[in-house]
Amino acid sequence: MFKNRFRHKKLTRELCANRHRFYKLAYSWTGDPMLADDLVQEAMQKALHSFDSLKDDSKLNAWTCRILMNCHRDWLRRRKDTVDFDDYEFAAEGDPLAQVSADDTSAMVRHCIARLSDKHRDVITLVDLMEFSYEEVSQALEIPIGTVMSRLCRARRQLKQLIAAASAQEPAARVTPLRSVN
Amino acid sequence: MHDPKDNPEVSDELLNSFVDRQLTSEERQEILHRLKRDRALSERVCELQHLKEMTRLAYDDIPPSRLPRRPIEEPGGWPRMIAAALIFGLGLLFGMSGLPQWGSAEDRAAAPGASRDRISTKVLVHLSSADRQSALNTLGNLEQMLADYRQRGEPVRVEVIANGGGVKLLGPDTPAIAERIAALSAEYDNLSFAACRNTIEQLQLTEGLHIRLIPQVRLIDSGVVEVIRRQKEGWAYIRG
Repeated sequence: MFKNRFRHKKLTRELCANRHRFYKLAYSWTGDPMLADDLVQEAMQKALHSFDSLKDDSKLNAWTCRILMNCHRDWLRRRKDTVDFDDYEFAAEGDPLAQVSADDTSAMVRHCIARLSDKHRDVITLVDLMEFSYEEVSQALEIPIGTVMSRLCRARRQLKQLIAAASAQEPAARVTPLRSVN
Repeated sequence: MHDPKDNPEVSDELLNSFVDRQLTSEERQEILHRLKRDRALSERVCELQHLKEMTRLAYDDIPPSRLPRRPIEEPGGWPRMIAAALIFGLGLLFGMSGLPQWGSAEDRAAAPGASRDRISTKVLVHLSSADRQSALNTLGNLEQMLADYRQRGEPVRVEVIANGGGVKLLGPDTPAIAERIAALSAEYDNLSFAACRNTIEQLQLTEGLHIRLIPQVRLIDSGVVEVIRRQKEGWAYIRG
């Protein structure tokens, strides 16, 4: 009983110590600090109550990332059910990049990362923000290491192109087009 | 895992693995060796490193999380109650016997970790030039500053970050500087030295230099990133 309790405490400490990294990761997916907070909170609560299902403690971060991704996917699914055309229009009008100054490179890079496909964004943020090894990414996404490598390669290639295109544009021109609704 | 010899055109996958430090030591050495001879390959590596750093830096200035640092309430239970009862009992015992109490204000003030948290003066010294005399002058000024703060009893923390030509001065090949760094590090535990790994690798590629560092210098991934991070945290910046 004590052994289990000490294990839980150790895992909880580790989880809390990495909280800011999970927050960055969630923010990179959502671009919304409050939503990122909510997702991290939800994922950490789920992780805390499921430590018994974690087989290998050294994989805590990859395991928690998987939970966080599932929370994000659940949120996207819920959102899909409720969002209508007006919301899309509103989101496009409030496009943050249209408001940033030309020298705000960080915002421009974040915008480009947000434009990557989900699977490319997942892999690039896990490697560069979470500083995961390819093996950890493979565990978190449940894909082979070879797939991690090829996805990362394509993601970086695409990101490079997006950044080059965004850098060449005037800030006012960098507006995300409205999604077509037919 | 990969053998670059089998593939004269080094693939992007392999270069990504190199930049992400996912290769074995032998594979890494092989790539480093090829980079020395192949400028185009070197440029591809630089581009990837640049992209990686841009991605990392892009999320350094995002709005902070609004939640408290420790949001998760650990479940309570009888072990916590027993611990509380024990602490209460010990408190009574020592309180009555007149022994000094654990965790008094004076003790906390003396604890190095505690005092670091309260440090209001934090200074970052950026060493980017290979000029030895200039580095010695900087170290001399630092010593005076640290002695001054110590005399006044004011806490201060100083970090010297070297990149560019500065990393050439932190090895045993510049004994006058190495000895000075060793002596200062032994005297002041609030002073630290760090060198940029990217620069060291670049110097190996472009100038064939094998930079060695003295033990008092720790290695960091990127000097520029560290300088930006510290500045964002409010550290005073001094170019050495």
